Amino acid sequence: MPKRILVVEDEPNMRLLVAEELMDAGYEVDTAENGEAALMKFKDKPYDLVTIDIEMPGMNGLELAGKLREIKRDVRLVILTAYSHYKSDMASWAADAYIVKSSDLTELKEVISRLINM
Amino acid sequence: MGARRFCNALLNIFESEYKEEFSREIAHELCGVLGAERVSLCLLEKSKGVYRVIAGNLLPVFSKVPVMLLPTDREGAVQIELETSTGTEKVYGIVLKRENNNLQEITGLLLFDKYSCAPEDLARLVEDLEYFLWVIPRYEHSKMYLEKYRSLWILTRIFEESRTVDELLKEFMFAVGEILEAEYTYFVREVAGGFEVKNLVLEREITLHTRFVPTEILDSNPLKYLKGSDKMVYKPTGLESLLGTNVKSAIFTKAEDGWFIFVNKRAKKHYVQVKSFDSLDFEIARDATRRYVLAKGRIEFDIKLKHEVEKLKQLQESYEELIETQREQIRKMNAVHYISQAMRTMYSVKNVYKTLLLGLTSGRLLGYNRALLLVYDEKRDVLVGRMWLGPEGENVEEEWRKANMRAMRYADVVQYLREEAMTLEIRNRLTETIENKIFPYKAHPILERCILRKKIFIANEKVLEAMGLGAADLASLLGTKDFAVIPLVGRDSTFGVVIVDNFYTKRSIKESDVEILKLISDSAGLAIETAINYEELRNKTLSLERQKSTIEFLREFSESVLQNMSSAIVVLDREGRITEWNKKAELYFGRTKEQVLGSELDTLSLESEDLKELCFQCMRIKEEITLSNYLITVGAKERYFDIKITPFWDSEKIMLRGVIITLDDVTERVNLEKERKKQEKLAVLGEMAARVAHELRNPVSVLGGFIKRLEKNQGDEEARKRYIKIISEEILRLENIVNEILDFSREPRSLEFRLFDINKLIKDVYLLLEEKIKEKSILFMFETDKEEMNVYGESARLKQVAINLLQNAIEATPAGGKILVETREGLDNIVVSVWNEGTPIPKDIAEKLFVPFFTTKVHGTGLGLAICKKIVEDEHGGKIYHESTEDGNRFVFELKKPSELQEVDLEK
Repeated sequence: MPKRILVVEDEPNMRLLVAEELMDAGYEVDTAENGEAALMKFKDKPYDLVTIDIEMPGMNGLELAGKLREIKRDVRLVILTAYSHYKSDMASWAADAYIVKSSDLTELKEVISRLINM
Repeated sequence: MGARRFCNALLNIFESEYKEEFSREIAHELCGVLGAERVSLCLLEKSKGVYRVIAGNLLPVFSKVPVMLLPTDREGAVQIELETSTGTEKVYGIVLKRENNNLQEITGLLLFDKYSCAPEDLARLVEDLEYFLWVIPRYEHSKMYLEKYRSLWILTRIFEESRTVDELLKEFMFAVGEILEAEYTYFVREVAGGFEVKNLVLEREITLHTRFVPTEILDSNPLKYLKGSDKMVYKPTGLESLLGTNVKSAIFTKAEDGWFIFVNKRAKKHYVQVKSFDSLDFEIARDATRRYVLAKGRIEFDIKLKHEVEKLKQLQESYEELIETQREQIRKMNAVHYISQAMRTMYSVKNVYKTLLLGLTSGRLLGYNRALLLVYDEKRDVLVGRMWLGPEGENVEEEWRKANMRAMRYADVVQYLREEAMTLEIRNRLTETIENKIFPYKAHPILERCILRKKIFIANEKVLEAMGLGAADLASLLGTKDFAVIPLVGRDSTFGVVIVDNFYTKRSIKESDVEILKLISDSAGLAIETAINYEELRNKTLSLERQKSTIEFLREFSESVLQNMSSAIVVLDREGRITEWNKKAELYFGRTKEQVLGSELDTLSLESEDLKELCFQCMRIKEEITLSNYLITVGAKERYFDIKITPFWDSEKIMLRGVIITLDDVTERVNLEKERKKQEKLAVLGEMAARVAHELRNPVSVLGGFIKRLEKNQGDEEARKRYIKIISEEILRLENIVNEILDFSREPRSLEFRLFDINKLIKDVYLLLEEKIKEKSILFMFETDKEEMNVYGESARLKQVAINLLQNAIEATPAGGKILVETREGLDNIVVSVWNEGTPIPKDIAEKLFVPFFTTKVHGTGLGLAICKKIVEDEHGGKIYHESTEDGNRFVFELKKPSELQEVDLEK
């Protein structure tokens, strides 16, 4: 069974990029364009891992991370954002990893592989 | 009798040329046994119904004896009358028969003139002869069959080895003709108006002669033979005129598109029982022809196959070529991406240039042999030689090898470009030949087009020839006629051109490179622009530290200057002539009192727009006029003054005697304020870095990511189209962000003010956004005081403000809500307001609305309203602000009313 990943990202092209790359890497990938949609999908069928953008209209990534954690304690959460100065606060978000957006998604894929293929 | 000798003699008759001695020997042997003087031995030729004499001396050899002459059912010797060489005589004859499968088969006949042997000797002799005559022809026949079948092997070889149908036909006809011992071999087919006849001719080598025989010269239509199944015919009629030969027997076999005709058994010198084709020949011909059809099919198929394979090969080659070109194009696109990335990270223009040249010439990137940079010199309006990069030593290969080795040390191409560019020593021999040389571009057939029309130019021998001498200078400088000239295109200007060539490898530059070079051209322009902005920013930051300490000092200083400076006083009479001119005035304007008394203000060669008019206006309205920061140019110096013009009354305050002008020099203060404004902007620019980094990261990441995907999935046409669409979208987005930032950070450029109708502008903007308004079912209302309302300003800039405000309003209005745009005429201003229904903006946010980089949106630079403020307030001297209403928000901008003078301007 392939691991299931939910990509939460409001920028359509970025969302497409991450989703396509992860699909190529062999995961089963779903996407959501904001926190609300992500929450609905997650409640419907929990995922192994969720990548979350911080800056989104409506519910922001931090809130979403907290709520997902409430629903499923062992879900793996990866913050994927354009900001680099949030890193110090990572512990408080209960995220498992923090990755700055880049054209090179190798780091993201390595981190995900480490987190859910253990 | 020696049976063996007898048998051998008989065999010889069958196998060799006929010889008298064999016949004599047989006659001798037979006479000896019979006790006869003359004897003849005959064989039955069934087809002719005769006995043929093959040996003996009673009758001539090969003469015939009709079968009818002798009863076949009688045993023993019968007396008959025969015509012999000596006339009619009575002789004895014994019919020789052989019992075979209970059938009596006649094989021959023995004739003799008399006999004296015992009856049992005669019976034994007949028995022997019967046996020999039965077995020998059969043996001979078998031998012949064997021979024929053996010959058929030759056909197999021919079928295997023939490569063309013509060769096969020729070889086949020859071989089968030989096997059948045919006199002639033909291949005939029916064609329009007659027949095509091919016949085998043995000259020095085997050849096929082809001739056309028209139907009208034929005696009879040969179609009766060339129809239906294969056939064997004896003495056919009507073939002579077709084949040109007398036909005794012929075999017809059908081969797909024609008929083989084997004609006449060749004549033999030894004895044969059958002299025409027999059923075996027919079978062989038929069988061989069938095999011929198969072989012909195989060859045709082979040839077709070979043809198809050849076509496939060509297709594959062209396909591979296409893939190779595509791969090369993608590699180049990648290279452009890397070069752009490296250029973007450069903070100085010089390093951008170096990176560009390096990228163009590096074997790991675009790989042109040499790249020459000419930069545009604004002052002189010419191009000036700056750098030239390329191998310059004797050993070009070696230089390239070393450069490649350096490049291969880096895993990351961008890092390589960056580091190599920074350490690159550009003072080489090539550069020396062009450095600071002037290249006039005007009227130059290539350079002018590149600079003014921003077009890439690819030169080759033909094009240059067509251009004549005008373009020869570049060719002679470069030493080649194959090169490309690429303009470095910025937003408004062209920074120069880069000329690339392949001087050493002699590869010509392809037309397909234009797309790649176009990207380089744009991207380099953008990078240079950014670097120029950055250099400005850095210079300002550097002086900021120094200025910080002097700011305080300057402020104090200006204060003290102001304190200690008494004003300059000038008094004019009612005619505008100077009547008073104090010391400060002397100091400010460099004229002594004596020099100016009695003269008018405008004779002082002071550049002041309307000071004199204002003085007369003061006398008319009899009220004080104050002006602040009023610019007067004294000589080459610009000075700013706070000016007060006061009516000058006589002592009774009845008569106006003139005006008193008080001038305070506030140049220092004005400069200081300008400086402070600049610093404010610097602070803003500092904040920019974080915001811009965030804002750019998304599109840049997406761009890079999809370029990588494009490379990975280049075989997938559908994916490729989709990726290119996404890439274009993101590039557009990047451009918009960069434009906004540049727009905000750029020094105010000179504006082209003119009078125009603001209401028309609002209507234009509405049309522009109409679709979005309707999409959200917003009710749009427009109210105005006057049909036509003129303002004085640059319409394009103010249009940008209106678009921005309306766009914000649309975004903030809930679906089905209202938007109201109003233009009102105030006492001295024109007020434009955009109101929209929605939640009022809270006070703490409202305060920051016009602060650069402040935004409530998730994406966007946060510059929209800041740019509006810059346009309205800095450029047009107006005001822009926000008001919360009960159920919405209103954004207002006010512009000064155009003066009468400007109105007059419009009427003209």
